[in-house]
Amino acid sequence: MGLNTVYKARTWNLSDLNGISNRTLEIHFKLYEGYVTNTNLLNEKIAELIKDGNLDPTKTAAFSELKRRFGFEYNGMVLHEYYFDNLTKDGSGDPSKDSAFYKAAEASFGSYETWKADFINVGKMRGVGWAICYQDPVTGTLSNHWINMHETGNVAGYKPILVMDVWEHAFILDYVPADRPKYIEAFFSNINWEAVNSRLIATETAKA
Amino acid sequence: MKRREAITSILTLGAGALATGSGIFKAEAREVQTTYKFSTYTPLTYNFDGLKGLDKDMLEQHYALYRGYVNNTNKAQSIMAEMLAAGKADTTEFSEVRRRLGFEYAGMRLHEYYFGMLKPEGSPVDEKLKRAVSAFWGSWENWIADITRTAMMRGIGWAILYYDPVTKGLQNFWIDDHENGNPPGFEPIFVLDVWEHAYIKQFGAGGRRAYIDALLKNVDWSVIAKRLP
Ligand SMILES: [Fe+2]
Ligand SMILES: [Fe+2]
Repeated sequence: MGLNTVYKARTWNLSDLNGISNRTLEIHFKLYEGYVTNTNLLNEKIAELIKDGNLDPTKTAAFSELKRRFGFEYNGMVLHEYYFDNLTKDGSGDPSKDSAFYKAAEASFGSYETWKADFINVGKMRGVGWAICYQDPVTGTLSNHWINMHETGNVAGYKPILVMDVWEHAFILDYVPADRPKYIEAFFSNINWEAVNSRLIATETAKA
Repeated sequence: MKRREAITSILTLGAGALATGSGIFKAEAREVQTTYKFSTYTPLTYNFDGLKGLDKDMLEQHYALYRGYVNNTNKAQSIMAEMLAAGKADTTEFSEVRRRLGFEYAGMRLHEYYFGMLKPEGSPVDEKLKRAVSAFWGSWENWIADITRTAMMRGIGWAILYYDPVTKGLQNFWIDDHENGNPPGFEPIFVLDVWEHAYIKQFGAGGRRAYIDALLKNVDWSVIAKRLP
C-alpha cells in the first residue's frame, strides 16, 4: 500500500459522554481529521517525488522529511480511530467478570484491579502521548505501554486493545492540566468494552 | 528578564538542615541528608495583567504548569541526592529520574524565557535586534515569517531563535517536547511555546496561528535584544 492509498476520515456517533464535553469531542474529531489529511498529503507528495524521480535521500531532503513524518501522522490517525472506537455514551465502568478482556487482564496481571492500576498510572506519566494496553499476538498476554507523542513506544506487531489519549487537547477544555486523573476516571466510565473485547485475539494463554 | 538565581544548597550528612550561600533561599523540595550538592530552583514570578488578546486565566494555568516543572526538577535532584547517598544509584528508578532531567529542566527554563519576554502590548522592535536578525533573513519581516512558520510545524513543542556563540549566527529551531532539538551551547533568544496548553483553551485546536499573532503583539523586544551577547 502507499502510493495510491487515500484515507477517508471516519465519523463517530459520540456525544454526551460522562466527563468529556461535546466541545472537547468536536475539537478532537477536527484534530483527527487533520491527521488523515496530513497522512494523505505525505503520500501525495511522495507520489510527486516518485514521478519527478527525486527520491534519493542523499540528494533531496524532501523525501527523508516526508518519510520521517510518517510515524507521527499515521499513528496520529490510527490511534485516534482506536480511541474513538473504544468510547461509548453507554459506558458501564468496568468490564463484566466473564468478559474476554477481564479474563485476559487476570491472566496477565493476576487481577483486573492490578491491570487497571497499572494502566491508570501509565496514563498519569509526565509528557503528552497515549496509554495503550497491547496484546502480544504470540502469547496473548496484555501489557500497558506509554507512547510519547504518537509514534514513540508502540510495539511492533502487538495489537492495540485499549487506547487512551492523554494529549492535552483530550482534556484541557474540561479540566485544569493538573487534573488529568479526573479525565482518566471519566475515560474509564465511557469505555466501550464490547469493542475492546472484540479486539482481543484468542490464544491459548488468553483462554487460560 | 533577570536570569534566575540558581542557588546551590549545601547539604551535609547528619546536619538535617539546609544551609545556603545567600541566606534568602527557602527550599521547596523535601529535605535531603547527603553530601551531594545539586542546585535547587525557585519559581520566578510574572505579572500577566494587561496582556492584549491573551486570556489571563489561561496564562495563570500555564504558569501553574511551569511551577510543576520547577517542582519536578527540584524533586528529581533531591531523589538523586538521596539515592546516591544511600548507594541506590544503580537502580532503574535512578535511571528514570536521570532520563527525565532533560524534560523537566528544559520545561522549566524554556518557560522562563517565554514568560520573561511578555509585556502588555509589547514594545517597539529594538534596532540592534532588527539589524542582527535582518543580517540573516534579509529583513525583520522575513524573520517574523520564518519563526511563525517554525511555530506552525506539526506536533507540539517550541519555536526558538538560537544564537550560535561560535559563528555568531542566528537560526530558528523546532523543538519537540522541551528537550529534543536544542543545539548545545547555543543561546535561546526568542522562545515561543506552542504546546497545546499555550493556546487551545482560548483559541481552539486550530487556533495556533491566531495565538502566535496575539502573542507577537505582547513581546518586549528590548528583553529579547538583551539576550543577544
Ligand atoms: Fe488526540
Ligand atoms: Fe508551556
